[in-house]
Amino acid sequence: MRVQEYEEVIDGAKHNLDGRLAEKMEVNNKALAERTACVEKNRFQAAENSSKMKGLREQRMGVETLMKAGLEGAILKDARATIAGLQKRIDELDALNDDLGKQNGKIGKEMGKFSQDNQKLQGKRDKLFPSIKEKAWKEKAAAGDQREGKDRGVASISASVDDYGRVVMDRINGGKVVLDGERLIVIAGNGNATENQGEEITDEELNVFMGDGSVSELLNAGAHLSQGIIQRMQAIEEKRRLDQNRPEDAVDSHSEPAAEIKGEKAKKHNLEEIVSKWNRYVNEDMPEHDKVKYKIRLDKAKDDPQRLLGGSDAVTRELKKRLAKKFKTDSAKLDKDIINKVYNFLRELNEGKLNY
Amino acid sequence: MKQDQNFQNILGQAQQAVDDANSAVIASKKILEDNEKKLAADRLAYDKAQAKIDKAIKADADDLTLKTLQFLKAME
Repeated sequence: MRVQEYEEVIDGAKHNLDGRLAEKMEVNNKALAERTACVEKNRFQAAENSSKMKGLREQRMGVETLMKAGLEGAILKDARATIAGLQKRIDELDALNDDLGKQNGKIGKEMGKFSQDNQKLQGKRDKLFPSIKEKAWKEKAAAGDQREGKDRGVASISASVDDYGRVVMDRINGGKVVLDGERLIVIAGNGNATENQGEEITDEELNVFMGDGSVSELLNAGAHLSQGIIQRMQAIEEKRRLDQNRPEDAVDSHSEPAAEIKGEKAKKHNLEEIVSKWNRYVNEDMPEHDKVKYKIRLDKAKDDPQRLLGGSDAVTRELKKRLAKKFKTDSAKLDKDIINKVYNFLRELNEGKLNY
Repeated sequence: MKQDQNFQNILGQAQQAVDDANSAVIASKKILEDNEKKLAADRLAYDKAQAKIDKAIKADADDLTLKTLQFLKAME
C-alpha cells in the first residue's frame, strides 16, 4: 500500500466516523424529541389538574360558607361528606401533579444527558474536520467578498505542490487557491478565505488545477488528494481524450458530469426516481415529529423528470441543488447535517438498500 | 324548604365537581403509566440503536487497524 493510498484510507475512515457520529447524534435527537413529547404531555395534564383543583377549592369554600350559615341534620351530614370528597380529590390531584413533576424531573435528567452527549459528539466531529468549524469565520470573512464559483481561482497562473502535499496556485489578482485532500480553499488578496469541499468543488476548478497536465503528475509531485478528487480528475482527463478524438462536427448535446464520462458502474437513476426515493428515505429515516423532515422533502421533479442521473456525483449535485433551492441558499451553504443525510442516502442507494 | 333546595343544589354542584375531577385523576394515572411504558421501550430501542452504531464504529476501527498494519508492513 502506497502512502497516497493509505492517506485515502485515513480520509475515508474519518468521513465514515463522522457519519457514524452524526447517526449517534440523530438517535439522541430522536430520544430528545420523544422525551420532549412526554414532558409536554405531563405539563399539559398538570395544568389541567391545577385548574380542576382550583374549581374544587372554590366548591369547598362554597360548602364551608353554607356550613357557617348554620346547617343541621341530614344536610349538615351531606355537607361534611361533600367537603371530605372534595378534599380527597384535591389531595389526589395534588399527589398526581407531584408524580407528573417527578417524572418530568427524571426525564429532564435524561434529556440533559442526551444534550451533553450531543455536545461531546459534535466536539469529536469538529476535531475530525476542524475546517468545518472554521468555516463560519471564513464565510463571514467572505461575506464582503461575494464571488461566484467560476471566479474562484480560475484566473490562476500556475499550480505547484508544497511541502504539505497541497496543490497551490497563485491568483492573477493576488491571493492563492489551495487544493488539499478534498478541500478547496480560496484566499483572496485581502486575506479573506472561502472553502469548498468534495462535491462543492466544480469540475471547471479541478480542470484549472490540472492545467495541461494530468492527475498522475500532481500525485507524482506529492500532492495529497482525496480518492474522490482523483477520480474526478481522471474523468476530466478521459473527457479531454474523448474531446480530442471527437469529430469536428460532433455536437455536445449536454454537459454530463465528469464522473459519468468515465462510465461508472453505478446504476443510473432518473430524476423522478431519485426525488421519490429521497422523500421516502427522509420519511422513513426521520421521526414523525422532526420538523426538519418536512423541510427537506423535495417537490416532485417536474423539469425533465426522466433525465438520467448517472453515478453518485450527479445524484449528489442534483439533490444539493434542489435542497439549496428549497432553503433559498446555495449548495455550499447547506447545513452539514443535511449534507450528511444526502451522503447517507447515497450510501444506502449504492448499497441497494433503498428498494422502494 | 326553598333554602334546603338551594343547599342541595350547591352540594350537588360540588359533587359534580368531584366526579368531573375523577376523569383528571384517571387521565393522570394513565399518562404516568403510559409514559413509563413508552420510556422503557424507548430506552431499549435507544440502547439498541446506539449499540448498533458503536458496533459499526468498532468494525470501522478494526478495519482501519488492519489497513494500518498492512501499510506499515508494506513500508518495511
